[in-house]
Amino acid sequence: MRSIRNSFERENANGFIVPDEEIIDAKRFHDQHRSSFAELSVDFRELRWADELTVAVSYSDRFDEIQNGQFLLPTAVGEANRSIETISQRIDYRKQLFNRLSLRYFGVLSHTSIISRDSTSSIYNWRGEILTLGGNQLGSEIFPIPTAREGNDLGTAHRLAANYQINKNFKVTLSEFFRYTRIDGNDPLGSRILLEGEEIDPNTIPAKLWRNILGAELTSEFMDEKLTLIAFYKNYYYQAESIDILQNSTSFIPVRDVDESLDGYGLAVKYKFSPALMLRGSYEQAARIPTQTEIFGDFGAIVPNYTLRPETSDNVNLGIRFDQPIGNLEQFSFQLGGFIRNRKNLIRIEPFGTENARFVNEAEVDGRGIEAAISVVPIPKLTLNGNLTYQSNEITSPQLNGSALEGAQVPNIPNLFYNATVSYSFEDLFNKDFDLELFGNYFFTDRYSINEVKDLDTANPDFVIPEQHLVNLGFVASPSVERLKVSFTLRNALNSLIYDNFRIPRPGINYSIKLNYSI
Amino acid sequence: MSLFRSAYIARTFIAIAAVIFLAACSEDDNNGESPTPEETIKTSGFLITGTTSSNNALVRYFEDIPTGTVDLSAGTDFIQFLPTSIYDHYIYLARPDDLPGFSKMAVNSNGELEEVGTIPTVDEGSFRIGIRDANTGVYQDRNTPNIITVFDPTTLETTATIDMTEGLEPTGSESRYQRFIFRDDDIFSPIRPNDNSEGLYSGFYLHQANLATNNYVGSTGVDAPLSGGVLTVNNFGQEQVDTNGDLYVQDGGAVGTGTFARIYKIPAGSDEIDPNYVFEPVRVIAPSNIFYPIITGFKLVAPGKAIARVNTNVPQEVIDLISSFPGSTFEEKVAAFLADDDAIQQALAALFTAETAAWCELDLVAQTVTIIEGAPVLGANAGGLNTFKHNGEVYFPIATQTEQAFYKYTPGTPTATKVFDVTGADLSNGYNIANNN
Repeated sequence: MRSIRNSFERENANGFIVPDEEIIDAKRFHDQHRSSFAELSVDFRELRWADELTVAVSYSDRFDEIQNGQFLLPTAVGEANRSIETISQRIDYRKQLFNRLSLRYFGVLSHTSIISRDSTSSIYNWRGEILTLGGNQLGSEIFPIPTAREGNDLGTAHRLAANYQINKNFKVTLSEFFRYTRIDGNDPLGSRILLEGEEIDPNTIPAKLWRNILGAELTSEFMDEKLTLIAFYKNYYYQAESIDILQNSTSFIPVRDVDESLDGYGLAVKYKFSPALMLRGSYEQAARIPTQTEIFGDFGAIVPNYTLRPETSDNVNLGIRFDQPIGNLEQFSFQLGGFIRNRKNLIRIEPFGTENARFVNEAEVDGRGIEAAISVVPIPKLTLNGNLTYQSNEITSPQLNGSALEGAQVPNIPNLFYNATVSYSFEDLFNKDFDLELFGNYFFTDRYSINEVKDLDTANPDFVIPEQHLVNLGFVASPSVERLKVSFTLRNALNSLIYDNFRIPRPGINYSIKLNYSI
Repeated sequence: MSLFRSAYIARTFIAIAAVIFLAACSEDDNNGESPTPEETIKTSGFLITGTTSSNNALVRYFEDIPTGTVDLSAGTDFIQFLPTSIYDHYIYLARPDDLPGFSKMAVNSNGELEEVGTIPTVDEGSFRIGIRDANTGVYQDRNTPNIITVFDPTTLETTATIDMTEGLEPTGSESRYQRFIFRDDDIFSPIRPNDNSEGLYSGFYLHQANLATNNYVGSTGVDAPLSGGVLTVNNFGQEQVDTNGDLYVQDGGAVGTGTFARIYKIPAGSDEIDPNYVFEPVRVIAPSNIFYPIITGFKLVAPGKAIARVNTNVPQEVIDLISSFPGSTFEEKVAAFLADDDAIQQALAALFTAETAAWCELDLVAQTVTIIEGAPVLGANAGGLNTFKHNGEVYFPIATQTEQAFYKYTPGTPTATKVFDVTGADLSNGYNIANNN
């Protein structure tokens, strides 16, 4: 990482050892990642009671050393780490009945164990050196207090969809999605609730999250399938109940709960002027239920927000799509769309202290924008793709006096970004046993602020993420060894300054090599 | 592949490469530090600060005291902006980018805030820095809480350290300094636990050090064993020592236990809190307000006179809630109420949000409290604590559900008039950079 602040200690002219800062190019020194994944899957087809049935069990684990929190400080994280182990079973069932009714069920049951370790008496700088002044008074690097939390997550999700073709013009779809999550654990180093003289580890009291989405959809086609109308209704149910594990020194169980039921509905229209040209439009009143990470955090840099509410929105979309070769081109497709998305309780991440972040509800945000995508194949094997988004997410809800920062953009979200990709495939090279695909892509992100500001031209430049230009180059090679693929990516090939949404510098030029072998 | 196609591919790649190159060239590669401002800085003017809904700060400089309505959204944004001292027109504060340490800032000739120096610390929660005079400042790095660091405000270099390990530790753990009050060569510093999880001390205590010897001097304090924790206050600046050398300092009171916020006096020539001086402004003006008897923003404004925001009333909602509990006397109802956790949480929510406080002038000798007329009541925890002086008048912030403004009054004649309204952010504070502290 280039040009970052680094803490160090020096002896000043008066003979005192004092902390100081320097700007250095730092190499990440506590950033090891290890992961593995294995899956056993059995597929059954054309059984009497199932057209398709897949039963699978998978195991995955990963270990991550943590190098920094949600923000970049002049000190680094040198010891904290996290490991995750998951065993998951899934079942996927499909069946067509009476020619008109099709059923699909998908279910998952998973057990995840997450161990977060953050306990140290040392403070590290970005050179990997231990600072001596005072040691680590907190005893931790990311968490507000030392932790050795072991969490056990039980999750199960079930989706059932039934499609019934009433006649040539009408189809009805019913769907049901249910997800349940239960999280508990223990933390020998964490905070305790003192209840009637007994110390209780709040991690041992389970947190629970229920989510249910019930949907019904009617699809109708007219005018020789040129006109499609879709009307739909959804009910969103969300209930979360948890113990606030961040509470210290409490003498009661700090239960936080949210319970909401919301309705959504919408209407979508598609009209095909020709096989190549389609116009579409829709209106939807939608809801988005917070995810597990948004509510419970990641047991790392993202802290929980147990009272997060669902995000609701009014959405209007209009779009046009053209897909037909023109001139001498092999393929050409173009899409242009516009949207209005006015949201209440927008769920977004914001800083929480110096190391952490959490998801919050921003009261009211008016969004609008356009999206364009183009895909061109000028000659066989050469593909060009491009995408562009221009959007505005304006805060419209005042804070205290009716006008506080009304009109400011929601922080941490860019207004303009686009990308272009080019790829070319060589087939049957070297005695016809070797395929090679070369690719390059370019990403542009316009400047935006990590603070709430009305005008980027007058905003504090220290908190404005400048324009970013990212170029990646690489290839995918398929040599003669069956099922083997080798890919190489040179990321940030121009060594540009690239940032994340909180203005943390991303790596300069770097590369990765991936070997893929399928059994 | 035909020659034509090879040339076509080559041209395509060259075109794409050119686009990428041109795009890359448009990048602003100036990632160096902004130049240090020349020594031309504003020596007068006002900083008005506000808070956004993301809890960032907006700061706007005004050459003259504003009139009409000022829009803070046109100000400069920072992650935080919490000055604790202004001296020789330089502003000293915890770093506004939220990195560990302190900044020295100034308003440049263009009216823009610029950082002219930093004092990095190890602990990112270090927040208190104070300037005694042009040659001496002090701060605490909370990673080494038993040390007060003395530094030169010009060079920002450490010139001495004061070992405070002998200081009183009410619960056996280390403390942070809520403020540094200078009286000649002495520093008096109210303390609270350095570890956030330890809450508050059951009492109000100060450590004393001496800048001539750079030694710890002693500790003084008052126990409040039934308080459940006495709030301490970390207002901006000084103005805690009267012209005759008497030092006055406030605590914030306690929640729900009948421990009233108090003004303490350390008489001139003494290093100890005067046990016979007991001035509790809320008890004077609202003796029934035992639930949230706090004051904030205490500052001397004239000999023997101070300004403070005093929580002068109990919200009717809380009175109604307590009255709904069984009991033949109010005390019995309170006892029943205190046994109900849910009711307490409901009452706390009302206490923290109700607009029951008022800016008051305190007579420190007669121990009287006079509400400053003409200014609206506001929440006990409303934004805006810092008052400042200009042309002999005291300016104070008002942030209510319906109004955000600065009012002013003349000490001794407690009737206020509105000076200007604030829009564009939630009002935080105001500072006069012409004044030392």
